Amino acid sequence: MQTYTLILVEDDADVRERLAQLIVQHDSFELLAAAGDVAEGLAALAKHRPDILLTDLGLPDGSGIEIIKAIDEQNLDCEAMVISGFQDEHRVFSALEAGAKAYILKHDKSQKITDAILNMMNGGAPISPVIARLMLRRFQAPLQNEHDLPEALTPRQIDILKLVSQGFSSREIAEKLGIRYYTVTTHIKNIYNKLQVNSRTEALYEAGRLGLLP
Amino acid sequence: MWLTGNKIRIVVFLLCYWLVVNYLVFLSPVTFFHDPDAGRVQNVEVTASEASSPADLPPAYWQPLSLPDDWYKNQRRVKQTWYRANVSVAEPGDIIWAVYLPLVAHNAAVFINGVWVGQGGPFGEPTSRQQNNPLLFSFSSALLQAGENRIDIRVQASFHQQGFLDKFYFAPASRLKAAHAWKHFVRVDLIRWMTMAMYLMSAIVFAFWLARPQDSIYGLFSLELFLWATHNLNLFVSEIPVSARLWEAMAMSTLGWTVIAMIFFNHRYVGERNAGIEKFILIFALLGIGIFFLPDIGSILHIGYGIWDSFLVVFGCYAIFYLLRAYVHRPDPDILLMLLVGIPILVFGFHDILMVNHFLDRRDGLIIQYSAIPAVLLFSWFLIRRFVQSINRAEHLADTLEQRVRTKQLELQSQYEKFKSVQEEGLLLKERERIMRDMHDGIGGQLVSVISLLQEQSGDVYKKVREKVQHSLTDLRLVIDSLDPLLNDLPTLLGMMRVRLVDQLEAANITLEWAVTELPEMKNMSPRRSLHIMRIVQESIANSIKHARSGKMMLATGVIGAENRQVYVDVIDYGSGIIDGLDAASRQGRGIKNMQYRAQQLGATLNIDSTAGGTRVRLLMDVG
Repeated sequence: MQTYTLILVEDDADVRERLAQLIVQHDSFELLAAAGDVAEGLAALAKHRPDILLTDLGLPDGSGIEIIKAIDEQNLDCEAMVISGFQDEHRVFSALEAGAKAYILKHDKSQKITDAILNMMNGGAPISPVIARLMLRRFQAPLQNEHDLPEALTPRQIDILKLVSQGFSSREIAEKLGIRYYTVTTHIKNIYNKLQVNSRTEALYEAGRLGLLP
Repeated sequence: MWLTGNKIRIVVFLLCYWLVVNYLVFLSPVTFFHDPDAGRVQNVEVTASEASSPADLPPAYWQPLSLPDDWYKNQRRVKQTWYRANVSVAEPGDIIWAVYLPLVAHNAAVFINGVWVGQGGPFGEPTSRQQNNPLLFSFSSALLQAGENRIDIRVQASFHQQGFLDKFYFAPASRLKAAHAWKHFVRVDLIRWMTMAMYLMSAIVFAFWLARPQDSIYGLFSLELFLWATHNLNLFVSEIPVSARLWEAMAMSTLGWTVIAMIFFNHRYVGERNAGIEKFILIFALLGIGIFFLPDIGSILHIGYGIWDSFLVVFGCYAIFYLLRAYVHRPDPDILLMLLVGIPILVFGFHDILMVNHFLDRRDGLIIQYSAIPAVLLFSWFLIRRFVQSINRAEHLADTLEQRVRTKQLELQSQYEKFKSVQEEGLLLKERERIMRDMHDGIGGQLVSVISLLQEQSGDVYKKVREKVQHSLTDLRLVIDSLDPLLNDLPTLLGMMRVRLVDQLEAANITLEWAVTELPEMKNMSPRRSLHIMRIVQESIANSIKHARSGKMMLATGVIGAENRQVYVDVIDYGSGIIDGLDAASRQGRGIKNMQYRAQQLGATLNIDSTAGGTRVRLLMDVG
């Protein structure tokens, strides 16, 4: 069985303790570090170069998004997952833009949490109706210089997002569209990747516009 | 395609037209005024005398003469002359007789056998001006006697060169009236009415010009009409309000100024102005004022007819050649029409100048006034057409503008609405974020921590507490969700509810069949409305969980009604049915009352159909 190395960043000590416990107890994971803020998280990420980053967003010294961005900046082979306390789709979406691949809820059952992490590593991607709406809206908006974003959605991906926004699960979508469940999740994962590429392009464009690039 | 050949043809045509007009004017193939067929008197005796009645005339110095008598030609250097003729009447009878003077300048009085029978107007200074007015004097046969009768005619002129008496007629009135009436109509009545019409038109066009001063052709045409009409006064006003000298100056100058105004009008109408020529003729026009200051009628006639009129002929020729050149350059039918009415003005004017300068028989009379009829009609039509076109264009522009304004207004309105909704959305999101932060740091975060800790605990009490806290958290989430503008989309709202309630359904071991469809956009969605819908659906699902025993439930949406203007949300359980499971009092329970109240707040209908096979709660809303 494959084992994934993992670091955890969570400021709530009780929650951190609980999550650490269930990770340590699981055969598939090896917990390398458990941090309580952004600084510790960044240090742990650089030091351990884990397979998985599990991070809360609202941290005492900043946002977990900073750590997610560092993965890309440091060219690490690491999948980021957001721990959402209050399940705010808008904040989760920002994390997805930064490169996160999935999210879990702190108060989910233990089984659900470990399943979600494994699911992410196996190519799955959780999504909600509001995130699907935000995706559709994001991909429709042109850049400020009116050029299209580099990555566009395929008609199939748009269909999938529309069905997600109507509340259908990935399995129901696969059934409706007559495709395999994994095809649906692959599409969603690809959409996540395109989202990250687009947001990176936009950030570059924005930086260029502000004269921040050399 | 306009070919050179066509231009030549048009020039040749205009030349022929000019020749025909000349032929008609100068060779007079048609007689306009027929002489009466009776009583013509041509042989008379003449004497120069200042006497005012035949009784005062000296017996001697009468000289024989054959009429007409042109004082200029016969070098009669006096202001008054008496003519006498003897006519024989076989039987005067009991009828009205008349003397008809077709042409006299300027004024005449007629005496039969020494008795006064009438006169054109008052004698004296200035004398009445009848030079364009045929005179008919009727009298009773009682004045006549069988055999010889004597006719005395007193003729007075303003100036010695201008006196004139054409051959006249003595006969029963009935035989002279028709000739007199026709000539009077053509020479006086027609010109009088025409002149009045020109003054009226001038006033109307002047009003146009006042309204649009930048359109100078209206002003010029009004001036032209006014000057020409004023010039025409000389043809029918007998009792002049000023001295004969000023009156002559007025008649002469107004003719010249009319021609000059016409040239200015042409320049502007055709659109090719010649500033040099305009300056020259303007100076000439100003010099025309000098005519009023000449000392006597003799010098006015000399300078006016000799010099002023010669220039007018040149100007007239220039106007015609200007139009011809413009037409060759740009074959506009308007210019051709201007040429067709302009050529008679030039030829008629030339005829009159020759006549007043004694090169033509004065019995022809002045004719330039008749060339005004087609010219005035044409130019009036031009300006009216232009005015109508302007109105049409303005109306069209106004329509287009109105259309554009309307479009712009709609655009602005939609932009404003978009802006407003974006602004509202932004405010909502901000508010939502604030609440989220509060929740995260406060009660929400604590609830999450509590559940998180309870997850690891076993035992029924812990499980119940966890479920209760979980419900509270879900409730809190729904309230916050209702603030999300993205949930204005009903399927997304239902989808999010599914996400929020999934744990609850799983815990109750109920499979939810999801049959949400694409729905038309709901108008007037707001956090308040979103929350009402959520609460109704939440309550329906909670009821179903309580009462459904089949472990299956369905949430379906769809559109019905006229033009699919109604949206429904159904929550269906396949259980025993609410009615069977509850007594009447419970049926009106607080939950259902609340749902009804919320539906009412939404302006929606809530139907609960309960059968043995299950219960369907249907929320029916107008799209708006």
